[in-house]
Amino acid sequence: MPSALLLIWTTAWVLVAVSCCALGALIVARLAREREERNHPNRRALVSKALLNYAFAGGETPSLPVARRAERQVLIDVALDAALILRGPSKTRLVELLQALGLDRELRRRGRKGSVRDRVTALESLCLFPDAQTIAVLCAAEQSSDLRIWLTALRARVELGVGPDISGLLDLAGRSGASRSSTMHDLVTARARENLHEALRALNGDVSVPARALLVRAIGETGRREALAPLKTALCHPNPQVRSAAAGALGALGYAEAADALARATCDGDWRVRLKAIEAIKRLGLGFDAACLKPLLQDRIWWVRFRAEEALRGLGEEGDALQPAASSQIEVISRSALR
Amino acid sequence: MSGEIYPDLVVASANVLANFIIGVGVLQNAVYVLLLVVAQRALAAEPPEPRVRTLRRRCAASAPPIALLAPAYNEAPTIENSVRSLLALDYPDFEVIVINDGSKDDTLGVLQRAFALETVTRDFHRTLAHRQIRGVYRSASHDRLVVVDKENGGKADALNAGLNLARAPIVCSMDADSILEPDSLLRAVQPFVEDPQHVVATGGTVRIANGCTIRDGRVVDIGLPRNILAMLQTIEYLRAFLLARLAWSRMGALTIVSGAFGLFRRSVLIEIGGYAARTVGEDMELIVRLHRHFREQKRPYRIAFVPEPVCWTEAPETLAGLARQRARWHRGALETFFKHRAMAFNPRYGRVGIVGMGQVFLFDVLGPVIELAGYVLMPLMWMLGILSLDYFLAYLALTFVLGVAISVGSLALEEAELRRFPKAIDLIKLALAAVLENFGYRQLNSLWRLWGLWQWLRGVQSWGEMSRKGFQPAAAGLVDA
Repeated sequence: MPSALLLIWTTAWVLVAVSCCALGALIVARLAREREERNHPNRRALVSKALLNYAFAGGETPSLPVARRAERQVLIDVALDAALILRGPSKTRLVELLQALGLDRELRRRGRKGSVRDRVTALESLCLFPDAQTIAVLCAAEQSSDLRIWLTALRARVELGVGPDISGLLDLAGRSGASRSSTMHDLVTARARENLHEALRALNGDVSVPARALLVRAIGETGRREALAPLKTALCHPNPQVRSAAAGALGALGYAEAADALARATCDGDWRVRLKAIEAIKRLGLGFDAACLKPLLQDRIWWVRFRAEEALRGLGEEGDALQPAASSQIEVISRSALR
Repeated sequence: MSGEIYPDLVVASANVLANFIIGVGVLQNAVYVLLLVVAQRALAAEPPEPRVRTLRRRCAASAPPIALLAPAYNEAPTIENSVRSLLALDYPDFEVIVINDGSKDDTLGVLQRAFALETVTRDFHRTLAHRQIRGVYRSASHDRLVVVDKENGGKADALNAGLNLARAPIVCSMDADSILEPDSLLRAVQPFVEDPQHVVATGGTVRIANGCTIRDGRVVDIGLPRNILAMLQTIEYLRAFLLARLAWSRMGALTIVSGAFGLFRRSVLIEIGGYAARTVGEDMELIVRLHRHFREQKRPYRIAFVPEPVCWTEAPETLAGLARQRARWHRGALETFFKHRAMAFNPRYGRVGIVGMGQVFLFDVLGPVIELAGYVLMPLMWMLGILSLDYFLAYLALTFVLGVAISVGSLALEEAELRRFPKAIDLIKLALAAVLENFGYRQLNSLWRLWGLWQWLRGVQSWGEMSRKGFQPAAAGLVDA
């Protein structure tokens, strides 16, 4: 069958041609880049010097090359580094210069389209240019299906002071994967710190389970006494995800008045709640009846036993008194002290 | 094929055999082409962030503490520089735990003198079994350094001791003689920061350090090895990490995170019983066991591969050293595959069972046997007049060209997104290596893997003797100024 043979050889030759072309293109591109670097060895340093001089001293607008993408990229990189360390009038001058060079337009364009990395970096950087066009780009980016893109846009909008309130954030936390994100946690925590009453009102509202757990954790981070009672109530929520978040939040809140509720939570039917309660007890330290931890040394879940023993050691003399008994009860976990 | 001289049955059998060998070869190449496409799409969609400052800003507040577990066995000549480079990593919160696994040389003495070690008491739960610990030391000059001296038990045993002693939620397993790039932890930890509840392990790229300039335990100038074997391994590593692991991870079927550099959630490792002590492929076994554990418990999880964090390692430069390494790796893969054979092609384990274990079967179990059978039987059949020379040559050419095209593809990925090799001439050399490896190196590799299969069948458990030149000032090609 000559046709099959022909097909094999044709495929082989096509592959040879494609490989050679790809390699040739790579080498040519690399040579061009090397040449560019040879011609402009100090571009980054020169741009940095010009930008900082202008930002600190003002004066005549420096003429910086922005015609090519590589040149604009250098300028953006240097400008963003500079913006992080500048404050006050110097920063204002720098931002005005970047606007005059059209970098705000470039960043908005990159924020709308491109790779995830480029879009995320551009959206983060747009905080330097707080105007209506930037807000529009951020709002559009929030429609993206990529978690990193829309969360970055949301964080930028919050940083610009035009972000949603806590209820709006909790609605967004219902989107796929968002409630697990550390960015969302930071945003909700910041909002809860700004306005605890609004956060507590939201807790009583209609919120999805993952968002409620997120809110509970955020409230715990505020460290405010007003949060104590609502968190103790959340410890009785029908959903174990919320209950374990509440136990953790009571530990983070740091008030010994949570002792009774946490001790009760160590008997919860769900092991994740028991685990978080133990961790909270360990975190709070003094003021606990260490005996409430003793039954947990025989819990059916290994991780609970492990944490219970760890917590006992942290509870001072009372816990220490239970320790020898604890060690003898656990076969798997043995305490080793090396000298 | 000719049926004039031989009975029909012989010709038919030869036909079946030839078609099977060709079929497996075509399937392997097709899988590689698919991997190339997936890896290219993954890198294009999520190119690594080039600016370390941006990474640091993003994860400074949320970076979880990391404990680096560095098992060391007879590493006296290199251990000081290695530990200094680890201590200088760019990460907000980490601890280095060096585990001296009963070294017969002066590894512990070197550490004691270099870092002013003092005996300390460190309470820990001996939840994972390991050989007796003789002492725990902390450095008076470097807060982040802890040294554990224990009886020899192998790498897995040492890592288990480190896991027991570690207190950070994330642990990084590595080789004490590997060199991590300063930003490698910042990069590798990103999946844990982005999805803290699901990510249980991440792996980074391992690259060949032979030919690079090393100073104070740091790669300061990247270069290609002058030794031809190391050069061939460079292209091989590019293909394995940038192409295969990236693509398998995107498909949710990654079955290995290199023992030279991997980050794990400590609680999860403890939950599954730590590293398996009686295996030579403890890194692969661990990942497959992780998959199995989470799949059986129906818990969501993710094992990610991040292409940018780089760990540099020294490649063997002698045929004997390379043969031992490859045979050991192959033995490890076979041990893991047969230990967890219940997962293979089992829909209960999802993509890992079908695709992940399927590729282990295709490339590791069948691969070397079929490839060598092809090299031996095809010419034999041609000489006996059973096989058409035209087809044989065409198939051989296609196989070689596909191999080269795939290597060029991984080189293109590297050049498009990472650009680690500093000179254009390096690309040409690597392309030549991609061609050259088809004439002898690939065949040798198959032989070594077959040797690994033989060792596995005989139940050999040893790691074999490992000789390293070390990143020494005197070592040729590893210039230390």
